[in-house]
Parts: sequence; C-alpha cells; structure tokens
Amino acid sequence: MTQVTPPIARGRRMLAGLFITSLVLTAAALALLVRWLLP
Amino acid sequence: MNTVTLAFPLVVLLGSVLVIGVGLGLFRLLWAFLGIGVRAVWRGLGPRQPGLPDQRVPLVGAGEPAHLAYWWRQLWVDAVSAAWYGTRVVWTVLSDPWLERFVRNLFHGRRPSGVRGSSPGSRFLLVVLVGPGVALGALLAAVLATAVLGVVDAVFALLLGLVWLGCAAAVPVLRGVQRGRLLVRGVRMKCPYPGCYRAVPLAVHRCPDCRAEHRGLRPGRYGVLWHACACGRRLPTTRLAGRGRLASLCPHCARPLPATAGTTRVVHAPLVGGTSSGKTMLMAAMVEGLHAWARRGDLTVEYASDEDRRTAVELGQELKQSSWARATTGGQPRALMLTVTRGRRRRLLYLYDPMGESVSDAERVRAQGYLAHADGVVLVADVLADPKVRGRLGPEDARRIADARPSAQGPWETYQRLTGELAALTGRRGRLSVATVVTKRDVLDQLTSLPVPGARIDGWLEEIGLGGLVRALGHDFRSARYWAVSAHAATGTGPLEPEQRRAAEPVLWLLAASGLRTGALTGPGGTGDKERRIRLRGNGERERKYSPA
Repeated sequence: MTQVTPPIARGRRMLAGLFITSLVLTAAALALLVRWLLP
Repeated sequence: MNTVTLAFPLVVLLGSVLVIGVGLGLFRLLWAFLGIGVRAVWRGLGPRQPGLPDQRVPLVGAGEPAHLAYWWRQLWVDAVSAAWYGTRVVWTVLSDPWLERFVRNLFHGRRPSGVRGSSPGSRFLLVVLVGPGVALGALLAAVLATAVLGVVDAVFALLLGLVWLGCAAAVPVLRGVQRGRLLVRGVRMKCPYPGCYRAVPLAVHRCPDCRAEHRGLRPGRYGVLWHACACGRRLPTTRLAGRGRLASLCPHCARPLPATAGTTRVVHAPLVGGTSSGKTMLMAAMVEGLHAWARRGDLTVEYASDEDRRTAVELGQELKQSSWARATTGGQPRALMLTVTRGRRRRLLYLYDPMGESVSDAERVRAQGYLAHADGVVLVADVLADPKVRGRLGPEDARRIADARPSAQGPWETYQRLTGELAALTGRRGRLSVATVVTKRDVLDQLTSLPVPGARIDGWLEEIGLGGLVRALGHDFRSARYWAVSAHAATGTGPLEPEQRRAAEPVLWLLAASGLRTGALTGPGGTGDKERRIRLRGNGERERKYSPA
C-alpha cells in the first residue's frame, strides 16, 4: 500500500487550513445573510 | 361541520408532528449532524503524518522518478474524497441510529433507547406524535446539514481553485523567466561529446541520494519550485533555487555535462587544420596561455570538469616529456571545456581538436557535427605545407623544415575543404569570425628564404604567396585576424610566458566576439581587410566587439 509522503503531508496540512478558512468564511457569510434577512 | 370536526384532530396531530420535527431538526439535530459532518471532512483530509498508509496516494510513474505535485492532482482527490466522506457520514448517521433504531423504536411504542412505553397512552403518543416528529426532524436536519456542508465545500473548492490557479500560473511564469534569462544571456547548451554534439534544452539531473535521473526538472506538474524525488529528496527546479548544484547529463547520450552548463554562454571554437599542422600543441599552448593571463589577474580560468583537467594535465605532461604531441586519433573530438571569466561575465569555452584527417575531404568535414555550433573557427595554418611557400625555400631551409614535421595539407587546401561545408553546416559562415594562427613560428624565424613574420601576419602571408587565402578569409567570414605562434615555445619544459599569452590571443579574440570583455587583452595582430572595413565604417558595437585596443 502507498504511504503518505512528506510533500503530501505538507499539502494536506495546507488543505486542512483551507478547510478551516472555508468554514469561517461560510459561517461569516451565513451570519451576514441572517442579519440581512432579519428585520 | 363533520369535516371540521374530523380535520381538527388531524391538524393538531400534524401541527404537533411539525413542531416536534422542526424544533428537533433545527435546534438540535442540525448542529449535531453539522458537527458530525465537519469532523468527518476533517478526518477525510488526513492522514497528515508521513509514513502512514493511504491508498489515495498514487505510485511514482514510470516516466519521471518523482511524485506528482500535491496541487496538481492529489489536492482535488483529497478534497473530493473528504467532502464526499463528510456527506456520507451525515446520511449514515441519519440512517443508523436515527431512522433504523430511534425512529423504529418510537414507531413500535418504545423509547429511543428501546425501553417499552410505560402506558398505552404514552405508547400511543410515541407512535403517533413523537415517532413521525423525530423522523421528520432527523430528515430535515440531514438535508440542511448536507446543504450547509455543500456551501462550505463550494467555498472550499473556490479556495482550492485559487491555489491551483496560482500554482499553475507560476509554472509558465517561472519557465518564461528562466527561458528569457537564457535567451538574454545567449545560453544555448550543446553536448560536448563526440557523436552527439546535440542541443541540450534541458539537461537530465541526477538525484544526489538515489542517483535517479530526472529528465524534466523544471517547474511543472511535478512541482513548481521543487520536485520530490521517488526517494523523498527535494530537488530544486530553478537555477535560483540551486538546480545547478545537481549533477547533470546530456539527455541524448547520457554523458556528464559540466557544472556551468545551462547557466553560461558556450563559445564553440574548433581548431581546423591538416594532419601535423600543430593543432594539439596549439590547443595546449592556448590553455597554458589562458592560465598565464589568469596568473596576471586579467581572467579567471577553470576547467569545466575533472575530466578536462585530467586531459589538459596529461597533454602537458606529454609535451614536457617529448616536446611533441601525439597525432590526434579516434574519430570525432571531445571538446576541452574551460570556464573563462572576466569581470562579471563568464563563458564556457569548448575547444575542439579534431584529427587532421577530419578536413581531408568534404564528406569528413560534413561529419563534424560540432562545426554546426561554431561561434568562430581557429584556422591552424602550417604555411610550410603550402607548395608555393615550399617552392621559395632554399636547400638549407628545406632541410630545416623537415625537422618541423610539416603538414601534408596546406592552409589554402584546408580552407577550400572547410569553407563550403562550414556554410552548409552552420548556414551562417558570413557571421562567423576566423582566427588564423600560423604555427611553428620558431621554425619560421630561422628560415632565411622567407621574410620574418612581423606584427602584421596577414601582410606577411601575402608576402609569402598566401594572399589568396587572406583575401578569401576576409571575404567569406565576418572578420578575420592573424597570429603567428610558436606552440613549442609556449609549452613543454621552460615555456615562455609571453608566447603563452600570445597563443591564447586568438581564443580571447573569439571570446570577445561573444561579448566577453577580452578584446583589450589581444595584441594588435594582423587584421583582415574586412575587419579594417568594419572599423572604418565606424560601427561602434562591432568595433567594441571585434577590435582590440
């Protein structure tokens, strides 16, 4: 079976960071949407 | 009235189910499912520790012994698999335990944990109200969690797309910068080895750890700044990052290239002359001369590789032992490579010393592939081989020149064999410079039948009956200059340093034509008519490039 190489490990850490960023961005976007929709 | 009476409990029932479902779904299960989904995506983005098994990691391909860059493909594989895994886990949790266990228990009149309702009334409520409400809430929460995860995944994909585009855009930019740098510097690498002499647009680089040969070590799908070798070693893809420190090979013949290859402009200078005209000794004298200039601090000269150093040392020892160089044999020559630096500019000088038979007929000249890359030609002229010159010698001088082992082929004959084929090979003879070096000057100085070669060698050649050669060289080549050199005095035991420096002047002149500021080092010499015409026309650039101080 293939193994995780150091470049893939580095890439996945970056990917995890991007996922956290996308979570934060989505949460922020939804919060703004709710604030805009609510009176 | 009856309809209203019947509908009211149904509305109450449905309303209660709806309230239970929406309340449970929005205020509890949605967040629970979102948490489960996000945690699943996070797990799907792993493992992140090197060495752990993972079947998503591809094997190294057969072509290039390197892992594909993470951003090129694996980034998408990991992201898609993680996103899919997150969604799947949410629906799996909806299925079990929520629908298959909790809702099933409720519909059977049991609590979610499986404990039977304490009374028929509570069992009825569980079946009629709570069961459908929980089922509705769980389904609603799963759908909403999937939708929110979908939005997160879309933002995630957008960010990944930006990363991918950034890396993909960096590839042509870096390649363009490297290519532009080589074009500006005029670097066009050619293989120095016999039988190859082909252009090397990108050398093969060896991994220092596993010796694997990387044929495409440049920014691309295997990496922008580095390639990860199959052994794990990071190999830089650009000169700036240190690619030049790796051992490089010719991609055509797999023989080692000098370390400066690919960064330094190459100047190809073949020495052309008949057998025994003194090419090898002249080359040895030129190398000694370059070192003599270096000792004075005017240049920095280094052998391009250990093999070049060995070749030069062996030649020097041979000349010290016997004062003569053995006749060159073995077909096409390997270039002797030297790195010549003056100021901030550097050139990789390829000196070709072909055997004299190489110019004995047109077909053999055509086989000399390196001539196609020539930036200038060193025409080695043994005037003692010319029948006209010989005819002017007295009996005493005729005996003297016998000891000098004159060539079987005169310079005019060599020129005639060379000129047509050179034009066919290079297609640019009119743009080449020719440095004509009259060899065996020590013998010429002793002859009484001929005038002594002075400062103007072209004039001297005309005097001894080789005016046709001077005119033809001046006509056919961009510029022509003339020297008379005693390689004998410049090499072997007790060499004369001024003669060594003089022997190097033709090469310095050719290097000056490539933009290296060595023109000031070459003496007045003899200049051809064409070069004089160039000077008189006042072409500043040419004047600077081709005319000595």
